[in-house]
Amino acid sequence: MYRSKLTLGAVIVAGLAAAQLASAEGPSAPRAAAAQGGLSVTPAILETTARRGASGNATITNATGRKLRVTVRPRPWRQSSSGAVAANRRRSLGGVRVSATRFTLAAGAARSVTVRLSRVPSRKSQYGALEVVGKPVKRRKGINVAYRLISSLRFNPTAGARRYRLSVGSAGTTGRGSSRSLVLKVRNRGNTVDPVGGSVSVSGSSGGRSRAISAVRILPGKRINLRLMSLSGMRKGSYRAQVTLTQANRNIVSVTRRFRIG
Amino acid sequence: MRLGATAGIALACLLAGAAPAAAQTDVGGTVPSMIELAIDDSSGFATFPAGPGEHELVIPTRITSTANRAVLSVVDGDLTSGRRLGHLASGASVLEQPLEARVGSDPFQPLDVSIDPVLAEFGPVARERARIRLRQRIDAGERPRGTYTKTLLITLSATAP
Repeated sequence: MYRSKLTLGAVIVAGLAAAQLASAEGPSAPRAAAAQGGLSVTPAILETTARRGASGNATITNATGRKLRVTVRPRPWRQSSSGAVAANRRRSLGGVRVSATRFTLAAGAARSVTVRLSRVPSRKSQYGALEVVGKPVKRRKGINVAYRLISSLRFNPTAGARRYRLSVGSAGTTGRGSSRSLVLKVRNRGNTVDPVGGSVSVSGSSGGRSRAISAVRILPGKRINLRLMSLSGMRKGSYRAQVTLTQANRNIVSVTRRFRIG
Repeated sequence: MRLGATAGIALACLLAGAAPAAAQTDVGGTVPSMIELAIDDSSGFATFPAGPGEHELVIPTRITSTANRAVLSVVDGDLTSGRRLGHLASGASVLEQPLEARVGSDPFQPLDVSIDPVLAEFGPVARERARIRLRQRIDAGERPRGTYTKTLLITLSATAP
């Protein structure tokens, strides 16, 4: 009894202190805090199973202190040979709809939009980006800065429809000196973006080395130059690389490739 | 007022310490994945003095991301292609050199390209500061005139497909 009264007293004192400290900041404090925020989207990766009508919600929050004109668009990815992806601003992602594409978001307001898969592609999966652009309502002379957030959309195939297939091409080197690397052309012929990793063992007349391959997500149908390992410190000459690529904890393909450091 | 509150907390803690409670509580929670971009208001590049030169404008930003890798870039918000992409324009008059941007000491990257230029990369961060530096070069013999306007999309992107 005595102990619970003491605990209650401590809570009341701490609460009052917090209230006093907050009031000492003045009535403008909430506005100042809002002005320090930005535009956000949650989650950063919206992931669900690819079924017709499958959907997920993304919440867009405007903590900027300014009213923003917001547009929301599903976009396809573009993937470069290095594996980096960027949202393609010129196209829309097929078969994906959002519940609201244009709206105004007041300072401090949030809005949830539903992203729905209206049509399942023949490969049983769909991957893309959700582009959220927030522009200030008032446009002025000179540079106008606006917000653009790109999050990831993953409509994965159902467990029974997952296909893991990789095709590999030639091996080669990129870069020079200490940044020289061994790369292998790899195309994802499956229907997932599960990371592609594995191991590589290089041998040649002037030595060798073995490494784990840093996992990279490859879009279905895309081909990238998968970086296998650094060749820093290795001498000129001919080498042989034994490569095993894995996806979803499975060995998908094992190949041997020859290459030269010249 | 603050001193009184602090004294009150201290007193309460002392009293609570006189009769320690042996309670154990599991504390935990889930952090939702998110990305947030905050941009400090910046203005400039509406007009330029006559004659060749380089003009710079700083845009302070703050990045919050739960992604393993996120990138910051700048793209033209008015156009996605064409001759005017990444160029400041005043009516029919278009500046010869494109806008350029960089973060830190990296080289400037032109904004007249269709691929988003990567200015900076981030792991999971909270309110990480990044200063975007814009540059507009005016060539010799070029005569900037009128008032220029351009919307730039400061882009924070999750990079894993």
